[in-house]
Amino acid sequence: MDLSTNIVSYLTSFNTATVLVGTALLGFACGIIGAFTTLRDRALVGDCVAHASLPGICLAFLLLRDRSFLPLFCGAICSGLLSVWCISFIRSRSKIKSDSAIALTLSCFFGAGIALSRWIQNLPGGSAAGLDSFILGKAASLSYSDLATISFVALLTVSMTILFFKEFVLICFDRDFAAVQGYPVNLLEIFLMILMCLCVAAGLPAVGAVLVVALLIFPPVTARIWSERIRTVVVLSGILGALCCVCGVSLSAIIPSNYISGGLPTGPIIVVCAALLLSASLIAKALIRLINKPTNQLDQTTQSGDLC
Amino acid sequence: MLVSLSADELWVLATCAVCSAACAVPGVFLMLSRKSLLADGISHSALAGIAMAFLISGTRNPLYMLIGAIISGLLTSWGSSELAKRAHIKPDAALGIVFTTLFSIGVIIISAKARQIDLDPGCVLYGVPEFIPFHTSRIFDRDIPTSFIWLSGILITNLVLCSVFWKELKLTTFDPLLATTLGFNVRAINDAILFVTTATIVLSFEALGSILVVAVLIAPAACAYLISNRLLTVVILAPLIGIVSSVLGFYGALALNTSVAGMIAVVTGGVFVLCMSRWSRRL
Repeated sequence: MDLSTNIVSYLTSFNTATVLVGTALLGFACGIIGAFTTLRDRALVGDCVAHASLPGICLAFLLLRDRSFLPLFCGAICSGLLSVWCISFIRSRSKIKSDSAIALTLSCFFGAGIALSRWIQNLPGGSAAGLDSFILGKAASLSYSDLATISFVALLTVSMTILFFKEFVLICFDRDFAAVQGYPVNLLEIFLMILMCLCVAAGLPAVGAVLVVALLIFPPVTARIWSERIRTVVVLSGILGALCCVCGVSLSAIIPSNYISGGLPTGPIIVVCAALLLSASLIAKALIRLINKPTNQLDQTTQSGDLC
Repeated sequence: MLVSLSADELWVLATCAVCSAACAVPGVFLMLSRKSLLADGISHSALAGIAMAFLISGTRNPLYMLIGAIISGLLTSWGSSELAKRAHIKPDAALGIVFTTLFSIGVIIISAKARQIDLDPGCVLYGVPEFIPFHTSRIFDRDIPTSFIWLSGILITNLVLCSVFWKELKLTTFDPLLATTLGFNVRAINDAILFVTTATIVLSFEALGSILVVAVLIAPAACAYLISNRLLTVVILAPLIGIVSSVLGFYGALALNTSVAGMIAVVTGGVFVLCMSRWSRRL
């Protein structure tokens, strides 16, 4: 197998369309929600939710003995939300700071997930083979029913963002003002966290628990470089997220598999794509600033001169 | 119950206990200076350093691994703070960017060179302490697991450094501004803490893996911090709590026939919940 045959088989395969559409929708939804969570200083809560979804996945598998995506997805959401609750409980009821609360919840839940998956593996007749792909992601295994779940999550996220755009922007920029204006601030925040959990859980099979947080951080940060208006940042972040996912999935499918034994996990490739995009944006922005600097200073002096 | 353990199991238990104790000491200072997530970031990105060390040296020598991981650990802390400062990115987002990128590079290198490198990304992620007795070195005419020797070394180093630089550590943790005005090099002290933390994290990889090591770094420190407000008490209590939870976790894993590393993390979480229910109101 060389590069060209890989490209041909990739383009002609039926599964490709499913995987591409699924991951693009996923990247879009994560980008949009990530814009709000990053602004709200909740970037690494997403990391915690992703790691914490592992015990939920294992428990759902244990209870239902079903390897299909939907029950595992529900389990992931439940334990993800539980971890968010744990963080806020620890933060509000003790002197432990929020960063320690996040690190603690993340590692303990992940440990529970590892212990459960090993336990399932050692049970008679049990095998956790399918569960391993949730740690580093395997987008190629996305099926048609997974696509339905991911599309549902993406549709829900986008429609809720449009509906509650004003409220989300308000709690991100000025929480106290929102509270004074009579908005149910806590409820809105919980709602945002629920949407984030949905996106993270939907991203698990494609990107994996360890790296799905990258989809929540990279696109909004890259979008923020190019725009200062929240509307533009949110939309651009969604588009960039979709772009990263599509590039990453395609690359991991095209790179010859005899060169890389066992195939590359999709998650890391998506993250490297996103990182390249971010560094290109940073460099481009720095260059633009360098070129524009003299004229900007001139503008400022003429303006101040006018004022005098 | 101790009698029923085989020699190999005893070594696993001892290594896990030493590992928890060694991690808890720098964990206290990380938690107090609000850098717990930096530990999480460092433990992820160390994978890139380890993979690069393999790629360049071609051996599994722990010394090269250690150097590679320390470089990538310092790169994470330095890179994320520079990114936050230069590009106006929020500090937590900057940390997320740096560690996911380095971790991905590490996974890609390991997957690409899987045949040459006798290393599995999953193994580094969640650690397999059960394999500790298989890598041994001969010291004083006895076969002692290499991991145990390295971890005991780092535990002693941590304790010695902590007691020698006690005043400096206390001052920079609680009042970096005062420390700076008094002429202490706060930045060097912070870098030294990170250096030692990274070394401890890397040496714990074989025992506990890169994500679960965060549990033994932060949870015992957090428990001790709930119990006491005095730094000395916290620093003494944290390793003890770490040892107790790793022993309990080990027996739990034996009883349930599951992963030792995972159970240790679960038990540290359980101990934290107990401490929360008893001491949380004493703010």
